[in-house]
Amino acid sequence: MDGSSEYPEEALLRFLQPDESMRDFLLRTFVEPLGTSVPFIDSAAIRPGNVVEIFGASGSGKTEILTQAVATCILPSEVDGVGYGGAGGAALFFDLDGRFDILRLVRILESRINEAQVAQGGGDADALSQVFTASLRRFRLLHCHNSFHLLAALKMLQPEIRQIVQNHGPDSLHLICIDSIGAFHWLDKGLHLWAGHRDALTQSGLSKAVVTELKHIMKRHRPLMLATKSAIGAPNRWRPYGSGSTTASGRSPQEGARGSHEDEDPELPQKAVLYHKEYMPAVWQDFVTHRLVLQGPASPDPGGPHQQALLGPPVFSAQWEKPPGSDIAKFVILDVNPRSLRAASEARLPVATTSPTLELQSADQVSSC
Amino acid sequence: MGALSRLGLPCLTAEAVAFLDGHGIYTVEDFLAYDLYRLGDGELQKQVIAGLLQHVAATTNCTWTDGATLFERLTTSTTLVSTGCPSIDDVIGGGLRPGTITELVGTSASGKTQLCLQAAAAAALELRASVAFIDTSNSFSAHRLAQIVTGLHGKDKFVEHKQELRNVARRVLCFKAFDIYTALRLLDDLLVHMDGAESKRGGDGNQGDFFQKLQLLILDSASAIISPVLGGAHTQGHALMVSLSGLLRQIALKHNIAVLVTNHTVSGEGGRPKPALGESWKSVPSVRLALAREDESDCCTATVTKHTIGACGESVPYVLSRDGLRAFEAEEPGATQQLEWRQE
Amino acid sequence: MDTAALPIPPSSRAKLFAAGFRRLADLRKISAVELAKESGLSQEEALHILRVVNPAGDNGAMAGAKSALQILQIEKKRRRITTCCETLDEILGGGISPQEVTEICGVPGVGKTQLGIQLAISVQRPEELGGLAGEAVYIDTEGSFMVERVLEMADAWLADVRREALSAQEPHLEASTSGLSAETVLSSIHYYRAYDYTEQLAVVNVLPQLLKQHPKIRLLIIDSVTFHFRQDFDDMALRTRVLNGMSQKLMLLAEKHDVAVVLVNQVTTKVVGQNQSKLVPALGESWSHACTNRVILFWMEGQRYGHIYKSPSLRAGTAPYFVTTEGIRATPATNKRPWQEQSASPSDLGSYRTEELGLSVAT
Repeated sequence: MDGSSEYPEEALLRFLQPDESMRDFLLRTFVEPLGTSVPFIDSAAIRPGNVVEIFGASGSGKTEILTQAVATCILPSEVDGVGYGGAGGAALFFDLDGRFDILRLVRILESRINEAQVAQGGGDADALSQVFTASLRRFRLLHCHNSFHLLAALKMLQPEIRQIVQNHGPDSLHLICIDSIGAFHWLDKGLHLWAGHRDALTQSGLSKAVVTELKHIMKRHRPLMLATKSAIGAPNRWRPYGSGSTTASGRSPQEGARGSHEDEDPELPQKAVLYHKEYMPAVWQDFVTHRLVLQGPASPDPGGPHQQALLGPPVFSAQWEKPPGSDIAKFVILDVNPRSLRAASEARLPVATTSPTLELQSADQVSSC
Repeated sequence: MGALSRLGLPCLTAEAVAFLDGHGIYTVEDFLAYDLYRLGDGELQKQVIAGLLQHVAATTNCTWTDGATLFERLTTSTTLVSTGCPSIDDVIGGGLRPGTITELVGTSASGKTQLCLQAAAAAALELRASVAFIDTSNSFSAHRLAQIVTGLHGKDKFVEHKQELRNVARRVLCFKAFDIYTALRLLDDLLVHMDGAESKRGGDGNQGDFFQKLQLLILDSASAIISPVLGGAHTQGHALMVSLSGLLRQIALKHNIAVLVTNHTVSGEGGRPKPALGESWKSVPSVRLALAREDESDCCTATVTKHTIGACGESVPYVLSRDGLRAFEAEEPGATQQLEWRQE
Repeated sequence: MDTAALPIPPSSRAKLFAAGFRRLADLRKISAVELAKESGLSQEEALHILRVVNPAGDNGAMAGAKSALQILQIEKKRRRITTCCETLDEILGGGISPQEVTEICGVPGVGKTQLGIQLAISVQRPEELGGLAGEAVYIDTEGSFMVERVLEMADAWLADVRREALSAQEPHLEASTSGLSAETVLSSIHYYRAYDYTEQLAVVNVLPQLLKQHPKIRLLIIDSVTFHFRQDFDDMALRTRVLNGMSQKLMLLAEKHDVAVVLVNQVTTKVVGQNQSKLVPALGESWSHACTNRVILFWMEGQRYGHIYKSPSLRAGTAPYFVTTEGIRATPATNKRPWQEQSASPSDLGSYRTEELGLSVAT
């Protein structure tokens, strides 16, 4: 991946030219952190060009976080004096799991638009639906069914981005989501058995190709990239500090020194660290700049279905693993009433948001220091 | 597709093929995995790249859909497929949603197959849709289906029953697949046929008609064919599982079909039942409904344990009656009709 | 679908993939010669692959599809294998059905093997009398198959069938039974003794050929399916996998060759709560999904009962039955053969001790 050997002549020529002035450089890199409206992500000051990996078992809220971030990205920041808290940018969503639900996004958008208008003393339905449709137009989705499909899509992304630029203005591509990056892990893993001499067609070869394509896109457009990664194999659990739990990248949870004075009351959950298990090839690991580890509710899939009812909304947890953070944020996902799905499709209209708010809420920030 | 030279693309002159060979690109896959910036930007390269990309675009669906279109599609062409049991429909948000995979997981004799048959009956009767039922464990019973249709039909006495029953039974096609390879081939064939039906519109007689009206695909049970290949040191089993879920998803998304699969339970820690297809399968269904039967009783409960947009943990009791799954009520209709059970 | 998911050797997959044949569709319109040339596979390998992709004489997996209407008509015509016990037949909807896998489980001595033998005999009922006139395969893993007992039951059965044919007073019915004798009954039961689970699996694996050679076979009994798997296995995950694989094979056989598969299973105690246990079918939770129908035989107050625990088409039901010298019957003893003492057979005596256990079987 050393840049100089990648573009033989071109690179040489370009190398002799100044890339950009210091002023341009500062303008380019000193950008405001991108808001995602997910509190514990925003607290880490994510900037365009970053690659954030969101790791967690099924049912730990990964897709929900992506959907929230998409909503913030595509909502306008302000229309007719009403602030919507969005970025007015375009978002591309690679759905490798086939589970993105447009309805969820729609509900979040409606709820936020509604809230914004109510805050401004009520708006009219026309404006609401205009903002709504314009926002949705800034969102684009593609399903991919295998690694080659993904590669093909990435190779042919330029025309799509050109169209985005045409419709929504230059630098409007703010967000690229991939859900989830490990979806083809098992399919690709079998490849090395058979591809034999063809290095490019092994699991790591394909990852490398994907990362290379993504790097080209990141370089040209500097969007923020959010990629989810599902846990495979055993579910991740709470691991107490000092129990020798290591992340697969070989580092043990950082705050070893700090752990010593935390041993005093070991039964508190915030003494634990969320466990991350790596299975993606190294080239992807190196590409990732931030990693958030999520954990679903204690018993996400109860064996007997009787337990869950009266316990209140399930609490999710999140912790930064890269850069290391010791805070574990707890959050709840306030659900849409599932019955409203039928209402939505029968009425053939966007449903008025009488249901509970859809915001991902930071219930409380538990600090371990 | 084979080697690039077999594609017969005009851009692939002998010179171009030799050039690509030099870069180790023999197949379309090699091309896709290659960093095109490293090919350089001569005239030949540009032509080759453009030609191949065009070919890839023609064979792979890389068309992005914007959110407004997605939403419009959702509101105009989404018909929820009822399970035939209103109270269960209610907890999963109105019914089985086209384009998504719903999973039933439950112990033996908890009514998984019954609910599958009932959903098939309801779709064929109420929506006049075709249903593809993939039976992996010899549990499809047309006799039972007919009973359930009769039960559902009871509400509506206007239609001549016998004829209606025949029509409904004609709309449900049952496929047998006792191992995962057969199932994969079958799903692949289904996909090909559906693509065909889409493009031809009305051609191909009965079969074309069947595929055009297809709204529900049932795989009962998914775990019976997957669990024999899983486990051990080999990863091939997982690859097969991912292939299967991928095909199901492709069928669901591409043709807007509701997919219903079942997953049986095995004993987990402390003897508590747990799903046979575990962690890596968990991300496949959008909705997971856990069915459980109380020990020694007829009353069962269905609990939503996963829902992409809805609440989890809602549960509803039901009974297995002669007419199919029914909401649990104080007096159970099935009990009084027990004697008539076999008379049809 | 990817060629990755084809049941072919990994080396062939490697060559296919390296040559760019990743999609199944890529293999649809190519000859074996071309494929061999393109991929560097041998002719045989290429042929094998193409045979896997496009099996001869079928136009895709779709060909086997039947509409529910067709199946309904087939189901209506289908004849069942009577248990010779009217009460059991009643809850079974007329007997054991071909094309289905039925599991029979119960405590020792409750009559599982007796029922198995009875079925192996009654599957031979002449077509004129509404029977299947079929043959049976009996795979014995426990060594509980007693020829003397079979002979005894066969004689009783022959007498019954002849009497039935006579009472109808139709010459062609009488004629239909004339070819039957204890000898023909015994020779129509293909008996295998499997001494360990490898042998058991081996027998299951040769069944397709056997069924092809003897197309009259309508019944397959494994008595018991459990025995070796409870003894010889340490790796439970492996056991589950092997058992699941076997049950899928049996289902395929049942469907393809129009055979009723009857699996006899033992019961085991399972602890529920404190100081409480109940009897459950052996082989655990995952196996319970392997059979289409499950019939539990149990004792209650000195009486044997059969209970349909699960079935996609039958309602749960319970019916009493008796094991008599003649076989499985709905009444304790008939006066047909008054000269025979109604003494309980040794296996019966032994079973009374398990009666208390039988009481707690989940029903």
